Amino acid sequence: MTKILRINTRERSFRYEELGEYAGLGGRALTSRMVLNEVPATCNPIGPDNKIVMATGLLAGTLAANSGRISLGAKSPLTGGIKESNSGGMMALKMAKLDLLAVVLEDKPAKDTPLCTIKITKDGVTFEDASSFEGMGTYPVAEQLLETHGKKTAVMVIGPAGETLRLASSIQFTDPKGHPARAAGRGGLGAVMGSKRVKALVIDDAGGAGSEYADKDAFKVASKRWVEILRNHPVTGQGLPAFGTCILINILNEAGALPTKNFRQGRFDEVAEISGEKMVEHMEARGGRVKEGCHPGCVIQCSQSYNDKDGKYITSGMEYETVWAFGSNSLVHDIDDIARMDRLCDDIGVDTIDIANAVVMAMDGGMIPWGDSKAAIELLNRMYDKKDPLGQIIGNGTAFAGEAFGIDRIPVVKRQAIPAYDPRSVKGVGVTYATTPMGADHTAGYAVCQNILKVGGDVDPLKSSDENIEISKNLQIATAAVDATGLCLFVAFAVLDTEDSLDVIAKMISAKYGIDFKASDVAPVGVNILRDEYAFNEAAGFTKADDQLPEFFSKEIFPPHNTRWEYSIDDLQKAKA
Amino acid sequence: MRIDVKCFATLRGFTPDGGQMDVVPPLTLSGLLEKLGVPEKEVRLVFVNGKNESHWSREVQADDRIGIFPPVGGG
Repeated sequence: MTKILRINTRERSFRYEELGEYAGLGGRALTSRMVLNEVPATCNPIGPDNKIVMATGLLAGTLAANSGRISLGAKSPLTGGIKESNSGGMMALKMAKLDLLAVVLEDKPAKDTPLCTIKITKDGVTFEDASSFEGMGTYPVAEQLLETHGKKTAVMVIGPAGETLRLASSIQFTDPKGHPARAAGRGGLGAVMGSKRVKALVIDDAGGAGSEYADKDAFKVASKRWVEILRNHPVTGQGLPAFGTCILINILNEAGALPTKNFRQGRFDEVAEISGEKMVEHMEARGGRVKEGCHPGCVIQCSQSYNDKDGKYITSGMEYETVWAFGSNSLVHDIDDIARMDRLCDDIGVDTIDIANAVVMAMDGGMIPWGDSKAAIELLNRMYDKKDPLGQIIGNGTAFAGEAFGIDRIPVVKRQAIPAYDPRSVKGVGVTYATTPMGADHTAGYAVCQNILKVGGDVDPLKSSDENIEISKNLQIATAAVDATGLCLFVAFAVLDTEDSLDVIAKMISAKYGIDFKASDVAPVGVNILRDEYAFNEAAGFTKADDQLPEFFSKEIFPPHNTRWEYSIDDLQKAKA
Repeated sequence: MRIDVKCFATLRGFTPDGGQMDVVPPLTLSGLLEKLGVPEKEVRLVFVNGKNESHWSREVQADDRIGIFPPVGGG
C-alpha cells in the first residue's frame, strides 16, 4: 500500500499514513494541495509551521522513460508564496521502491539543535547526528554519506547556505554518478530544511518492492510508444543529447534576447566563448561527458560532465540558465570559470539563477568589476563563512543584494530572479514570469517554445499580443500537469509536436492505476494545481499587483529590437487559469 | 553583396569562413542553404536580423545577419 511518511523534526519521530484525501495526486499536485491544506499561508517560512513536502510523480518507479523527477513543496522563504521546486536525481526512484508517495518534514527543533541526517529504509526512519557536517559543502558530505550508507542510496543534502538560512539556498540531490549536482534550486527551500536542523536525508531502498501495475501488459505497450516519441523528436532525440541546454546561448543571442549586463541589451559580443558549442568542444577534447541523464530511465540525456583543461572533473548539470547568468549577464566570457561557479553553487547549496544575479547586483553596484570572473568566484566563496556579511548578503539572492547595493533596476518578480530570456523580446515567457504563482520562473510556462524555438507553434516574441498571453496560460496549465506525473518537463518538446503523446501518457497512468484516465483529463489536473497555488498566495497576501514585472522593463528600451514591456496588470490577469 | 552567416550546433561546420560571404542577388534563404550545402530538412530555425523567418522564399538583403539552427531545445 502506497504511503505518506511524516517526520517530526522537533521530536525526531515519524509515522506512516494512508493517502486519504491525497489519493490520486502526485508530484506538484500533491505538494501544492498539501501545502495549501496544512501550511498556514501567513506562517513564518523558517518557523515550525512550514513543511517540506517531497513527492514523487504518478509515474515514479515505473518503466516510463523520464519519469523520475521529484517535487518539493513549501512556503518559500524567498517569495513568501507557495513554491514547487523540481529536481532530478535518485530520490524519486528510491522512494517509489519503498512505496512512498511523499515524505513530509514537519515542525522544527530549537535553533541550536545539532544537525541530523535522516535515514529512511524499508524498516523505518532513524536520525543520526550530523554535527561533524556543520559548515561542510554538499560534495564532501554526499561523498561521506554514500561511503557510509552505500553507493546505491539516494542523498538529499543542504550546504552551508541552507544551514545559515540563506533565502536563495537550494536542496541538492545526488545524480546517478553520486555527485550532488542536481538541485531543487529555486525559492530558498534549503533554508526551510536548515531551519529544521536537517543536514541530509538518505534513502536506502534495499528490500523495497515498489508497487504493482494494475495492467502491466498495457503499460508496456504504451511505454514502448512513449520511448519512440521521445527518441523520434529531433529536440529530445538529437538536439538535447548532442548539445544540452547551453545550445540556447547562441539561439537567444541570435534572437537578440540574451540578457547582457543586467538586462541592458540582448546580444553579447563574446557569446561564442560561452556557447554550448564551445562546451562540447572542451568536453570532447578533455574527456567529460557530452550527454548524461540526471535520473535513471532518462532517454533525453541533456546534461553533461565538464572537466578542466587537465581533464579533472569540475561539475555536472551546468545548464543554460547558469551559463547565461554567470556569463553574458555578468559580462564574463571564461567558460571554465563559469563551470567553477556552477560547482561552487552546488557545493554551497544555492540557486545559480538567484545567486549569479546577486553577483550581477554586486557588479552593477560597483562592489566588483563587470566581467571579472575571478572576483566573482571570490565573492561566491564568501558564502562558506557564516560570519562574512558580504557572503551572507549574496546568499540571500538578487532582490536582497540589489537593495543592499542600491540598485534601481532589480530583475525579480515576487522577489525571485528573472531567468535567461529578456521579457521585452520574448513576451510569452514574460507573461509567465509575471503571472505564475512561483515568482519569476521560466519553466512554469516555457513560452520560449513558440516564441523562439518554433516548437508547438510560432508566435512573434516581440509583440504584446493576446496570443502571447494565451500561450503562457496554456503552457502553465500543461506544465503543472506534467509536474504531477514526475515526467521531466523536457518531454514537452516532443509532446507539443506529437499528436498521440497525451494519449500515451494517459494510457500509462491508466495502466499503472487501473483507472480510466484520458488525455482530456490532463489539463484539469494542471488547472486544479494552479488554483490551489493561487488560493495559497492570495491567503498569503499577494494581489494582482504582484503579477507584474519591475518598472524598468516598461521604461527602458531593449536593444537590438528596441522593445519595451507593455502589458498592464489587467492584461496579464487573463493568463490566469 | 555581403551578408553575415553563421550556422550553429550540428550545422556549425557549414559556417562560411569568417562568418561572412559575398552573394549575388536575387538569392532566397532556401537558395542560401543550398549554396552552403546545408540540407534543408536539418534546419529548423533561420534568424534574419534577429527575427525568426518562417518563409525561406524570402530574399536576402545586403548586410543581413543570418543565423541557422537545427531543431534544439533547452530550459
